Amino acid sequence: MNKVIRDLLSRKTFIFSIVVILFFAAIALLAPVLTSYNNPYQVSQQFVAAPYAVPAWATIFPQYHDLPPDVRLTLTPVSASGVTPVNSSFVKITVPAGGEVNVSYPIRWNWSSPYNVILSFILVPPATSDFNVNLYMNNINIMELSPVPIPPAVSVTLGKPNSITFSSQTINPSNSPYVNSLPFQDQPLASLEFPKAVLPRPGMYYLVISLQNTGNSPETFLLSNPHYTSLGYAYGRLGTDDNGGSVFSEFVYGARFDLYLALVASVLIIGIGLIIGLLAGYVGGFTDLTLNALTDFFLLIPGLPLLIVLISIFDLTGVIVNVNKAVLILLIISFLSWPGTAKIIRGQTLSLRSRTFVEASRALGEGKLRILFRHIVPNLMGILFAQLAYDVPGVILAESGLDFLGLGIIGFPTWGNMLGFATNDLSFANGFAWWWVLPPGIGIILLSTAFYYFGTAMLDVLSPYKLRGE
Amino acid sequence: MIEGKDLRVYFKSRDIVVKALDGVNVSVKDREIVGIVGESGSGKTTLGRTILNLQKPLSGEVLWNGKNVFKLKGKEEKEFRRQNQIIYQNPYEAVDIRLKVYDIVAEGLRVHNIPKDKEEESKIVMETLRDVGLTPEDEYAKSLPNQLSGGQLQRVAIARALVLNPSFIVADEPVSMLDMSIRAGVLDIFKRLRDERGISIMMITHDISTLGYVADRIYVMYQGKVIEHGSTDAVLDKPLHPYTQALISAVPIPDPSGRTSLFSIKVKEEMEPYNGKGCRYYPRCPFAMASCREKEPNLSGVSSDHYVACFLY
Ligand SMILES: Nc1ncnc2c1ncn2[C@@H]1O[C@H](COP(=O)(O)OP(=O)(O)OP(=O)(O)O)[C@@H](O)[C@H]1O
Ligand code: SF4
Ligand SMILES: [Mg+2]
Repeated sequence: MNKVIRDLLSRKTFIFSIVVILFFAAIALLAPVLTSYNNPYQVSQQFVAAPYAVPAWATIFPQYHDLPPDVRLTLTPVSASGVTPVNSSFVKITVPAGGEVNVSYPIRWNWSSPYNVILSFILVPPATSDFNVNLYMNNINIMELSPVPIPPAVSVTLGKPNSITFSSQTINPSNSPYVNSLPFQDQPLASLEFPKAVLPRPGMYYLVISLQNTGNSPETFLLSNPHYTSLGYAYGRLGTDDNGGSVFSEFVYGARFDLYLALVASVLIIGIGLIIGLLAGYVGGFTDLTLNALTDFFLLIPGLPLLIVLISIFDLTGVIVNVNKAVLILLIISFLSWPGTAKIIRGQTLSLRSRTFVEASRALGEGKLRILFRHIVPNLMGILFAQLAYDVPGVILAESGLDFLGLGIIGFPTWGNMLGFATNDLSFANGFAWWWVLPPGIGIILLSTAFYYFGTAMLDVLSPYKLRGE
Repeated sequence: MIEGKDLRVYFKSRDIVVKALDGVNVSVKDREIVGIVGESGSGKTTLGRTILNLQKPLSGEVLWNGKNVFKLKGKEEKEFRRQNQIIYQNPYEAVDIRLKVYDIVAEGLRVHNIPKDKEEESKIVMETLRDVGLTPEDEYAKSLPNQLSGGQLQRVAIARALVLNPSFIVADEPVSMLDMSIRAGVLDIFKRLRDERGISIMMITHDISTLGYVADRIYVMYQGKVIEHGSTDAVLDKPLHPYTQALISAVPIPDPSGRTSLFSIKVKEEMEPYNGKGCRYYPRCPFAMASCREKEPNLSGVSSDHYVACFLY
């Protein structure tokens, strides 16, 4: 055994394959630790950043240098007369009759414009209806709060805490003076243009909440420190997809699925392929005839077309409502993977069975079973691993192909459907989303090659008869 | 004592039927080395394999101390396997090259549960390796077959057979793969086995000169038939069948006893195809007569220890 391991470790291709497989296995196992999004295809897990956000580390490249990350700030006001802190998060503002007090919140912005801007704060206006509150950002009047809601002003309840949220994504001519003031044809695009208008480039910006007293006695306002949030264009380890889902999470859970698929396929290949091949080759006669026919039947089933038809039928008729489609695809693909191995094992068993050393074992008095397990099976190990090496990537590729075409799994990320979705959306505008396309592509290639190298190394080391070119 | 009676083994490959054994009678008595000689394809290996119940014959039987070996079951079959061993022509093909020499030799012991424990097993294996001249034995025990030369591996194969303390061994061209210089050494092992342990041996070869050195009796085979047999001295001194004479004259190395010079038989140059009913040798026989084409000759005794199948006698 030692010699086998030493032999294996002396092969660079084997080391490569082990490193790659272990790497992906580690990723798959640690997926819940590595990322908190277990299925970025769910709406609730999307928009963790702007769509097509580049990986955070890509900002070292000049063209991505200024892209903002996700930003979350709690703004604090610059001190001014009439503004007194109540506690750490609220300030009280007293506005004299007919006067106006501006509360300014500085924002240090180091990047180009973000994807969106969201501001939220709590406002407790006076109980009188003689006031007006305006929000300005970069000197643009973005929101107006008023007890008399004449669009674009937004209404507030008098004397009670109002939870105010401003979101650049929901602005329209009737809730934002900014949009209202735009030329008519520009209004639909206001949501997109807004971040560029208020945070055009790195610099110092101010959010100003302007409190106006239109009555004739002093009024008191309570304001919480506003929260500023914006989604950025640089996110995480691998950026985001078209829905702002984390590509890293997709990649990690895709790896998990593909390895899982590889595992199930391997188990079936070894479980069914090896046993049927061995029985057919070693027992021979009628058993061989039957098993061989069975193998041929499964071998000749055109796998992918069958799958496509089956899945379409299931989808259309809804026959199998209770069975998870993904599980079904996994099982069908895996189940179609063993016949090749059964054939090869049968052939090898036939050839081994008629070898002189097997006859020599018979001459020594060894029984059929002892010969099988002591001489035949060990000599088949190499070829079995080689079969795993050729078949498992085949299974991964078939499944990925199905997903790529949109016929397979779409409910959760797999490398195949990542590639499929990505290629649908590649364009110059998103820099061909290389961070989205490359990881699953490279993943499939690496894993397939690793399996292949693993198998060939095992084949060489475990098959002395093959080695000698017999 | 083991004997094969009227053994027939036909192989069908596509439409052609190869009669590897066509009514062969042989016997090997206790403490006897019997030589089987014949050209390539004459059925020697098939004979050895059939005698040991490794090849089922179409007809005929093999008697081992009076018992039909094809009908042995259970304990008796196991005992037959233990007592009768075979050494193959090509040692590289005859051993599982994944296994270490130690395990190759110990395999038989384990199958027959001979040693009480690992220590005894190791003792027997090491002793046997020494017996066949593989010293230092613990070095050899650890090595793998592909680290050994053909001669060394053939000794391993011999050790594998000997470790079970057999009473009969089929040695199928045990020296044909070996260098001239070490052949005598390996042949000596067989002579010693017979002399010291009383083992009977069926020595298969296509080189009749080696038999003069070791065999007590010789069977000459031609195309699945025994065409001459008798004591070594009778067959080598007075070969009767034209084929035997040709075999002896074809021996390339000078025979110290000078037997070779007595015969210089020519083989016919152009051959007509065999007609299916006459003597199998007539296409090549320089003495062929008209009657040779009509009927096959049967083995008949020219003396008490010399039989030949030829119409000349
Ligand atoms: N398992 C088999 N299947 C088909 N034909 C066989 C088989 N074994 C032997 N034969 C054929 O039977 C004939 C006799 O073969 P055999 O091996 O007994 O010859 P041999 O005398 O040992 O020859 P050699 O000196 O080359 O070893 C040959 O024609 C061979 O092709
Ligand atoms: S029987 Fe005839 S053909 Fe056959 S060997 Fe004798 S002489 Fe030659
Ligand atoms: Mg042979």
